Amino acid sequence: MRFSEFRIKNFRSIIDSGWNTLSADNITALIGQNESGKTSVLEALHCFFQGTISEDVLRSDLSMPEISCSFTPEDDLQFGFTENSGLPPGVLDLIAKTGKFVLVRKWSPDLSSRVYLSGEGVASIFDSIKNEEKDLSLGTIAGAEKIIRQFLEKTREAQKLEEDIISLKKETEAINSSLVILGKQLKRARDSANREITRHKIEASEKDISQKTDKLKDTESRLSGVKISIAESSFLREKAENCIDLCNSLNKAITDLESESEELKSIEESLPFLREGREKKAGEAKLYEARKKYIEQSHNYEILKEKAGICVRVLKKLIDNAEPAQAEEEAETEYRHYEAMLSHEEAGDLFFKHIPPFEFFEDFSSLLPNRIDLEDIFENNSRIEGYKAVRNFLIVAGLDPAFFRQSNNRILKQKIENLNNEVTVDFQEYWRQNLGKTNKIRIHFELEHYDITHPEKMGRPYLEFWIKDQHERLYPKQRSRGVRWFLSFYLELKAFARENHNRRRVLLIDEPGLSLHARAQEDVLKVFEDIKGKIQIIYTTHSPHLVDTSRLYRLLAVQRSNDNNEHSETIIFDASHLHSATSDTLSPVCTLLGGGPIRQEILNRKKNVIVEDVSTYYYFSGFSKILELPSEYSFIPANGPAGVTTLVNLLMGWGFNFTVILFDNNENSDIIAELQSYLHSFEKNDQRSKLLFAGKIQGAEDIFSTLDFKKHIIKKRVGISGTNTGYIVNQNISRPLLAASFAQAAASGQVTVEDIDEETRENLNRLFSSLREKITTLDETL
Amino acid sequence: MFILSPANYLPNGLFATKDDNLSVTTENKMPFRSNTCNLEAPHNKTSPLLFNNLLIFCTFRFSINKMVDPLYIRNREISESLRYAGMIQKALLPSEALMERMLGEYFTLYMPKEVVSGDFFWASSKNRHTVIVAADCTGHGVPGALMSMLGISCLNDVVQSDCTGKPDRILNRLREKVMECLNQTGNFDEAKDGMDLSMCILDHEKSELQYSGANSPLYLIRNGRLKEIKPDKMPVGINAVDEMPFSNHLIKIRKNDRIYMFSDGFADQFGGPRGKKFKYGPFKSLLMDIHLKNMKDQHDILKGTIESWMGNNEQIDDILVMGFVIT
Repeated sequence: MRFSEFRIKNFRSIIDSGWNTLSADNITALIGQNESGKTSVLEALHCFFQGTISEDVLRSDLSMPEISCSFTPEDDLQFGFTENSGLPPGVLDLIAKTGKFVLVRKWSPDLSSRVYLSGEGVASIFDSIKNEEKDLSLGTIAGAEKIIRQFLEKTREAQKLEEDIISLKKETEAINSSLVILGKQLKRARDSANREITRHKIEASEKDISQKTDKLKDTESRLSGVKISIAESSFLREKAENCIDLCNSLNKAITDLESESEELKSIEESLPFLREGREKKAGEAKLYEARKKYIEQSHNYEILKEKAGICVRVLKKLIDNAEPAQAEEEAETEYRHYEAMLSHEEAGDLFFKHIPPFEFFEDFSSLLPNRIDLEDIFENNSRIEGYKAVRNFLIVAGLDPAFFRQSNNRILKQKIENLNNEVTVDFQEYWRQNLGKTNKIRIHFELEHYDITHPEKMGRPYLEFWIKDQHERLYPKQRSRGVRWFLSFYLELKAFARENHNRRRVLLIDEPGLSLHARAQEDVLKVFEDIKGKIQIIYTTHSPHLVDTSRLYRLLAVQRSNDNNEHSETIIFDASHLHSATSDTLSPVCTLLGGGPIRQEILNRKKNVIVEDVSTYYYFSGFSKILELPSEYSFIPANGPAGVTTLVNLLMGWGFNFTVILFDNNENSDIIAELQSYLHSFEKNDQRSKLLFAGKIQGAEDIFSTLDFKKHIIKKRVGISGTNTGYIVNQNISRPLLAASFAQAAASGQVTVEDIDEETRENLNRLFSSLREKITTLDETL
Repeated sequence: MFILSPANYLPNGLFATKDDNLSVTTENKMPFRSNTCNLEAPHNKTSPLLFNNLLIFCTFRFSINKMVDPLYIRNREISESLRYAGMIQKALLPSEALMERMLGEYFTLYMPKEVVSGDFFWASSKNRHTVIVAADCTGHGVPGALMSMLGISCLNDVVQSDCTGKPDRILNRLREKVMECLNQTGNFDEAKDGMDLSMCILDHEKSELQYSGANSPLYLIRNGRLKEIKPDKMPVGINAVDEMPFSNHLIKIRKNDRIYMFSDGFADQFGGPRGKKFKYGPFKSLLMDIHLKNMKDQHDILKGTIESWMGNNEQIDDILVMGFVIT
């Protein structure tokens, strides 16, 4: 994996750095003034890898840092680790399509952090999975509540129907009783009027009974229907109730787990402040109990999560009229599949394990000290001066604490002597190969014990280091910082190689060789060149000697958004936008490139157009006259296609914006490939590209129609069936001479726009409108 | 036996053909053929007596000497070569099937003056464009045919490599190619050969026709009116003055438009009662009269008309007329 881009948000003075591309050849230099935020960039990248930050890095508005790094796989095999990992479908395809993946580390207010897999479209895949699961839960719970509500309504309806039936029966009985009485009254009645009235009453009662009986039958029938419905839905209701119960229990478990986690954290934090003895023991017992409870809660949470997950799915399927047995089976399969799928964070963790490790190399802890206590080393006391260098030394020498427990002093001394020889031979090899030094330096360490002169440490072991050469034996601090720096740098590289089996890594170096002589600083660059195959180097510098002027694409300029306010936001410009950086920021480059006053006269800030040679320059000057272009365009000739790269470097270094026009020929295709390999701003299809590809023509002469070429350039009547450039090559004609003559004719008005034919005009308009468009686009993207 | 040299005795127009038939031509070179046994009387001014004597002489001569006379052998060889060259030239012209596929309803009246021709037609289809050319090379016969070979070859190259789809650009490049091939630089003593041609590019999707002409116009008949699109007055090849770019004419075409492209052979043919040129006026009238007929009938009428106009006159140049209808 190659670390290719980064973006830093809310880290010290950086609010949002935007995406910054690292140099494709693995060496990136951050240049800028003091307090511009260069070191913050390195620290932020280191924090991205380490995952830990201190409160010092937080901004005053307390917005939490977020650091994104983009990585490019170097071959498809590098994604082997994702096989059967549960990565959601489509994620790997997206990564393959974009050719990169992005890891974002976000910090929470408690300063803990998580890494997420991100990148174009990737986050939305994870979000959609999460949303689907959320929708499933919410939808199913709403369905469950509806089922329960309907069930209760039906139960109430059944109760009411039962009551109606009882009341109807009672009413019927009462009417029957009154009928009996009425029957008796009818028999007893003497006059016809009374008999008639009674008969009417009897008829009315009988009619009433009939109606009541019908109603009773109807109610009984409805009751029976409702009871059947209740019986049928009782299974679904039971499942729905179970589902809601489980979801409630799960929510409670989450709350409990969170409060338990808080509790555990507070106990852990308070423990160091407890007094030794009973108080401490009570604290530890409390911690033990809290941990036990936390583990139980976690276990409970996991069980509930699984049960609820399956239950929700089962219910959903039952609502959709699935058979219970089938619903159970399918729900479990689906849940297992969902559970096996990586979350946003899990995918982040998975990919994070496979990125190159980031190492921070800083002078203070990385320079070899004169002496260091063994105790500090084995207790990982990284705050001790030279800790890292000594740790590296021990790794290189293959030493662990057991080595120093050797009781036989003579054997120990002998082993140390052997190790000194081994390390020295290895270092000498490096020193000679990379730096061409003939002076042989020997590294020497000894195991000593403090004596009476150090009463507080008397008897404790310490390591003492010496750097010897042919003439003298000196402590590291007595040697030049250059030698110490190189030695420490060597140890860092070696130790890492030992620990990581030559795996690719990212080395962050703050101000390498700060106090080295200019020549020695150049040596540092040589070492970088030598190791860049396996190690990506990102370093900060003020020194012009640590900037390779022929490779300015390696630069990232860091400065404050407001020059005069050191509290303003830090902004970063990549190599293609160096023209936007201040001259102070670019001072190391300008110092090297020189030409200050000249460049102000020849160039302008934005509309510089690099053309491949003098002939093309003459033609373009002539075209400008013919088309009466505004004089704001400044055409700059390179000394042949190979010189384009040099000019690009020069203009970048001077901080000027520019566009490069190249023609379609073999020589140029190599140059284009070279430029593209360095800078994304030369990608052919990138809108922000500084490269204007002048169509399918091989040279400036081909902009003319053949007729105009004959008429205005070679001034000959001859048949030319091939390209104009081909004709010049075949006839061995001097290009610059013809071009200069054309430029002169155009300047003196002998050739005007009326003198050229439609084909030439079309070609010119196409080319120059593309140029205008390109320059406008580049201006807008500033 | 004394053998008379045929150069001295054979009258003009009498020669042996490959299949050992006798061919006697009239003064106006209109050939008529027969077996030696069935010679018919020529319809020229030769008297019957002379014809009989000639017949006896020829029969005698051919029966005895025809296999040994070196001039006869040479003549036969040349004739055979020409016939074969003619076949090759015809093979290089687009086939009927190809023309029909590209143009739909069309005709070509192709009447070489001799066995090989300096006129040719050419067609090609590229993307959505159909390129049609009617060309008349300098000269006729063998020199014309050689020039036409060069023209066809150059057209193939230029049209194939062209990405503009504009006939004027194609003609510009074609002229460069021809000049290059013939080493024409405008010097006084060099060959001035070249081609007159009309080229049109049909774009059926856009219903557009682009035309460029080198001394050769294009006729468009629409709604009973003939419109002549004038060509540039320069050939494809070296000219007396410096090369200028050809012009491009863009015409919106409509269904049933009739397009005609031609060489000058038809209009320049001598004949008629007073032995005058046919001329472009009558040619246009003729086209106006026949343009609504189907293409085959148009072909037959044009052929019949020019043959009848020619009568006993010699065909002075190759004749080419192409017509097609926009569908």
